[in-house]
Amino acid sequence: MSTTVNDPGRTGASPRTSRQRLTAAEPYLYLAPGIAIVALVMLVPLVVGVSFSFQNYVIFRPAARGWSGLENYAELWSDRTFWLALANTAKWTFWSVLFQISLGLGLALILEKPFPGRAIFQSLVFLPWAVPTFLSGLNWQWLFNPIVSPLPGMLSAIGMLDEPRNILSDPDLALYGPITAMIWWGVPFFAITLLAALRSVPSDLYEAAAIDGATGWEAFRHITVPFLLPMMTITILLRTVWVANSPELIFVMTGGGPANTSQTLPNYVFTSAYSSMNFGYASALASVLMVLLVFYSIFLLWIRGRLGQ
Amino acid sequence: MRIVTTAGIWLIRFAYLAFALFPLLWLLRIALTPDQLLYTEGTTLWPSVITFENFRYVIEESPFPTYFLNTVIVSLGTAAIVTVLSTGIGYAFSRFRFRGKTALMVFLVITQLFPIVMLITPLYQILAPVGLVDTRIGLVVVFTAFNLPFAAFLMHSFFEGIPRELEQAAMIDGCTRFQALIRIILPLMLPGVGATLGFVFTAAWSELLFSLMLISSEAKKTFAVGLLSFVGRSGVDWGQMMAAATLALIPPAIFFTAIQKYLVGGLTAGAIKG
Amino acid sequence: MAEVSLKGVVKRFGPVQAVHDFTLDIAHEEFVVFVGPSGCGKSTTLRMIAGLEDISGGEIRIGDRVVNDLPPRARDISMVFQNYALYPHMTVRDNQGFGLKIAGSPKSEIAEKVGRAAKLLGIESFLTRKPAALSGGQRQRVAMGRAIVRDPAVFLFDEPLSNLDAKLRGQMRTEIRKLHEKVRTTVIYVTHDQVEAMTLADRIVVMRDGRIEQVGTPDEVYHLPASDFVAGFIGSPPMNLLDARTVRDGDGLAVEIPGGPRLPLDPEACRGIEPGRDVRLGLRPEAIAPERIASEMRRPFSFTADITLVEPLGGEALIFLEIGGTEVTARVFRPNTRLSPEKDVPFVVDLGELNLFDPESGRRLCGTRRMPTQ
Repeated sequence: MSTTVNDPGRTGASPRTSRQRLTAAEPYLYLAPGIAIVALVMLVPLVVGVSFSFQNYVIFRPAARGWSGLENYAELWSDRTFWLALANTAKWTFWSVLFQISLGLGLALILEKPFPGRAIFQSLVFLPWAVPTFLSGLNWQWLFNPIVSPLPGMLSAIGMLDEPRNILSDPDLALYGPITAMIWWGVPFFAITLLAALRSVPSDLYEAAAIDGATGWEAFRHITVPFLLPMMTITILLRTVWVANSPELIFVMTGGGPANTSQTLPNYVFTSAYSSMNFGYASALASVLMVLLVFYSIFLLWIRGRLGQ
Repeated sequence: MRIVTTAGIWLIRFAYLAFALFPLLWLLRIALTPDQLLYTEGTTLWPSVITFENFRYVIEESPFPTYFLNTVIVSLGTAAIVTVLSTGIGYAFSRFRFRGKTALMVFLVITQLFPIVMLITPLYQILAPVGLVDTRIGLVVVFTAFNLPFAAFLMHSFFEGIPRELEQAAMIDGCTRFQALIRIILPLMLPGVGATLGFVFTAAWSELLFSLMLISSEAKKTFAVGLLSFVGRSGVDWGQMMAAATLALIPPAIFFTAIQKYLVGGLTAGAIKG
Repeated sequence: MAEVSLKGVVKRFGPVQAVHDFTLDIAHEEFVVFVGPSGCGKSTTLRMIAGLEDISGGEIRIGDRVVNDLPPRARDISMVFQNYALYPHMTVRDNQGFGLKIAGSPKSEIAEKVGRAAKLLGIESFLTRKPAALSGGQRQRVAMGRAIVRDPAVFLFDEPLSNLDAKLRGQMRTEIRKLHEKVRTTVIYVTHDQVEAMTLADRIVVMRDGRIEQVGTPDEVYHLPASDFVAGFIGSPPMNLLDARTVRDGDGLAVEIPGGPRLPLDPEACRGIEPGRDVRLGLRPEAIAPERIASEMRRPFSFTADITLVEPLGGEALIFLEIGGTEVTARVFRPNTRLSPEKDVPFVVDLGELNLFDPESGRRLCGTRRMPTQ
């Protein structure tokens, strides 16, 4: 037991004793195992991966391996598939997230008000999120198959398709298959977070608005939306990044085909790395994707900062 | 007018329900359809005859039970480890002031921007020399790292929901800080712990790419890999595949249904405020 | 024996200094109340004594031990929190016995001590309930029971009554006082409510901006506030503070309120104050009264003023009058005449209750009451 007496003359200085040193170290003890594993399994491979992008690194040609400067990036600039995949990534992310948010918001608003059977309704409509991503991909792949699913028939009956055929093999429509699966799978996530956010809106705000004579729509427009927006920016940001980064549905459903028409960047990275075994080029693609996502995040946070003022 | 509105709202509710459940019902419907009816009654809403033959085949004669077991091991292992580690991180973030706290939090957020596909090759090269390639432990390690940041934020928000005075009271009552955590805080956080556990379990159960790249031997394959290799084979047997898929759906669906209401609570507490 | 002594205690949060050079000796079995507005550092100081906050400098002793580096559990204290901090997953009985259980006391001893404390606080009938099933007042008792069971050297209370409604607060205040008579222990009690401080304390420590403003018995703090801040904080309604000026008055000195009366000062008490100096004059509301209903005063002095408003409160009444353009409150007890706003009413003021403060520093210059000899 330490009973060190501090010189009262230097009251300003922070006393350093064994107990206080231990106390200062305590948070790091709780953090260390988790942070270490994240650093080892995510940060280190990331740095290694970025370094690959500056190398000539094709697994079939080990002799040719070496630093190649910006060669991979130059190649990427003139790669038509890269530009196509980039455009597709934007399309894929935009439509997926847009529909996830709007349908999720609708669902959250439905779930916020009590109605008979709400609890069971909630667990049923949230179910898609429990479905493993690859499985929702397979599931929707089958649903778009006119042989085993009525969906193409229905789509053609309401005039969205000229005949009951598989949109996944149509170069113009293939990307919308995985987008549909992504929306289906992601709506519950947004509904959950939006529901949580809605519940944190102080109810006296609504009461005050009602006293001021606001209609339901006006209250939504002037109270709910301004309240949700800043809270939701981070969620939207993380989800957008996650969707943009996620190759699984496309990999499972179309493999990027037909003829790269549904190729997105992460899936292109995956196929470049494991079909053509060109790790250097794949890493350059991934690095570009990451830089774009970082810019996107900074932009969104900047917008959030402006909104906050 | 009022009746029309009510009917309209119910219509919307049913539309959501149909959108959410139709794909899953269809999965079950194909799994229950006898092979010979698959093509003749492929698009009718329900087959004239149903059979459990596909389920029997998947459970008794296919390698899926092995895949299933592997996935359970990997997912449960990941969920358990992530929950323990994220408890530590969430606790430290919630209860201590220390140097580098903001930087660490930012780091965890930034990991969410990493393109996972880029990490596969480097990770393979890191894991191979230590013998973690083609092992279930290797998968657990990787999934743990990937799920830890989000789980840590989730746990952080659950910790924020517990008044600090409770552990201070316990520390005055004679507990060490760690005893206060174990005896007072964690028992109160069981819903939060459960939500994190379920969330991570579900996420680990879904993982495909790394299982595909890190696992090569048949005996260690997870469900996702097994199912995908099933698809690759020529002459797909739809019924069996859907039966397997239906089975794969059960554990995460149970877990998720159990935790979803706590998840809403945890997110309210602050995870989404950023 | 548990004296508590703080010597030059300092607390910093980053660049912000929350507590400055706090020095205080608390006697064994003394009931000391830290009072001040929110953010004055009173809770931080209490938490440093409890060991819940590290100290940035100085020394804290409990009994004969320096406890600077001891964790809370080793300081032989117990604490009642504002929100009670009862363990929600334990019954009342387990809440009370938790400390002893951690200390490894035998079951029979725990049961006996919990029983005794429960009897003392009248909570025997709900020992098997969980905190959620208790009312605010019951939770308060359970929290105190948990503190008593451990039989500590020092009790710490952090705003224990501020979550209760006014009536219950009054009741519990009395009970805490009674409890201290029965369980003689050193008590340090933090509150922002000056009524609690006045009624409970053996000694009051008035704090402001992380510094001690005054330490004294309730009487001293009330009648001889060390500064205009204390004068304004203690007492309800607070002491009237008026800008004034000292002037020569025959042989002696007087204080003149611009546009108001000139009040002669006691030459004994106000030695050393030169005439022609700006001061702030402090007058307790009960030191002023309309002449016709005034009770006996030590040194009455008459003047006239206008009554602008009267607030009858039953047993007493507040009278608002104007002295030199400033609104002043007077308090009279059991007014048997009906009072109403009128002009040029004869008033008396007790010159024995004058307080003078420096207008710049706010420190006390003099008062006609003699300072207690230390």
